[in-house]
Amino acid sequence: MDRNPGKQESSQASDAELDQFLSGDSPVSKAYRKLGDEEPPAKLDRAILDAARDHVKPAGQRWLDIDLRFWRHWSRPITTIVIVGFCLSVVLQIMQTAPVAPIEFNGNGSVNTWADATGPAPPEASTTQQPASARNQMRSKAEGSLEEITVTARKRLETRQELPLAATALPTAPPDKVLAEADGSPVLDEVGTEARHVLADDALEAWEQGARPTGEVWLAGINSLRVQGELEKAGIELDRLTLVYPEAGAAAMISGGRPRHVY
Amino acid sequence: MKDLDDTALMLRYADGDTGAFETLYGRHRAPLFRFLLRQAGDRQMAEDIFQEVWSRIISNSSNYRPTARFTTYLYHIARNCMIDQYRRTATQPATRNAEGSQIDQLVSADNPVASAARTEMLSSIEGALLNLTHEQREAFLLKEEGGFTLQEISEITGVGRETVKSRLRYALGNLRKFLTAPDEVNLVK
Repeated sequence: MDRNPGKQESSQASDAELDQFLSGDSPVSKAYRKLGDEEPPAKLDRAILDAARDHVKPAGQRWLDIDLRFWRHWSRPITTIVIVGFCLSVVLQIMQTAPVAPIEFNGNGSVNTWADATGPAPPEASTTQQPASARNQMRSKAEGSLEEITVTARKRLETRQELPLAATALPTAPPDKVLAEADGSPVLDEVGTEARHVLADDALEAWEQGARPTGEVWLAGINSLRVQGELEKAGIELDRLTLVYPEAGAAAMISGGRPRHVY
Repeated sequence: MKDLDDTALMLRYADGDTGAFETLYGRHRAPLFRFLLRQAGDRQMAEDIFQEVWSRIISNSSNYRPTARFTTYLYHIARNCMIDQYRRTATQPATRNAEGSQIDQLVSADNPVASAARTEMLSSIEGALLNLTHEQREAFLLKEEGGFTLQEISEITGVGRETVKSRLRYALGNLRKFLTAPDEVNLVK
């Protein structure tokens, strides 16, 4: 602001003088205009005009700039999403193509895997190459008088790798009786801890015959249902599994399913 | 192109017409440079600020909105650049302050050579301009070089209209005194 206004009082122009100045007729203005017309140096003019030209680029080049700006901004999120998506697809692919061990139905209506037998396991080739017709025949036999299904794991370590990772985190003593009391289904108590490590198809077969397997078996069966495209059944079973194993339900959701019913 | 007003030229430049910018620049380069030169009192500083002002105009051209006259926009940027320059270089604008005019500070009374320089400097209206306060000189130069009205000067400087009138009255009074009797001018301290 103005300094020492009191001392400058005498230096103030009158309103008339101010009006004259504002209209451009003031003697002060005329004296000022006699000053030289300084101009910016030519090199400064060139630099500014060059900068103005550089700033304005052809339309195609401007689009390129927009694309580059977009890529610079979004490159990291896009790369992260692509990597995570790729990893997930690989994991799902591995889970879906995992080999399934066979299950054997014995004559008295129980179901045994090779590891459950008293003797050593038969050669690998004979189990994997078992004809489908023979299996169907055995299954139909078992359906008539099946009172109890015994499911055991054949290759514990192999099965653990084939199952979803979350399934191995289930508690070792699942409360199967809870569900059995709920719907009156038989429980696989007799199978013991061995029964928790069985492959997906085996569990599915056990289900179809009314059994309620332990948690890991159950989860494997749900996965198997999903693979076969029976999502409705898988959802129902997952809901029931969640009732008994809340942790298992969460784990199953991580691997792709979600409960839809609350009992 | 030369018939277009400043706002139209600026908008055309924003659309990529460099010829429009050349016309616009040609219209305002000399008045703006003189405003900066006489306000700063230093040619090198004036050139630096001048380049900075136009760089800002160029870089902000795509965001330009014709809400006011282009010259108001231009001199507002110029004023901001000048303030920034003072802050960067930690210098004060060429001005008379409470302790005395800049000219008085440049020379001491007991130095005859300096006294002669002072007399020579005061013999031009340029010297008298430098002896005004920064605010008075700014208001005077905005009117003389930019051709602004009181209201526009008020908008550019961010003070009230009456304040601008007051500054102009003091500026005119001091300059008039110099013009009528330069030898008797007792530059107010």
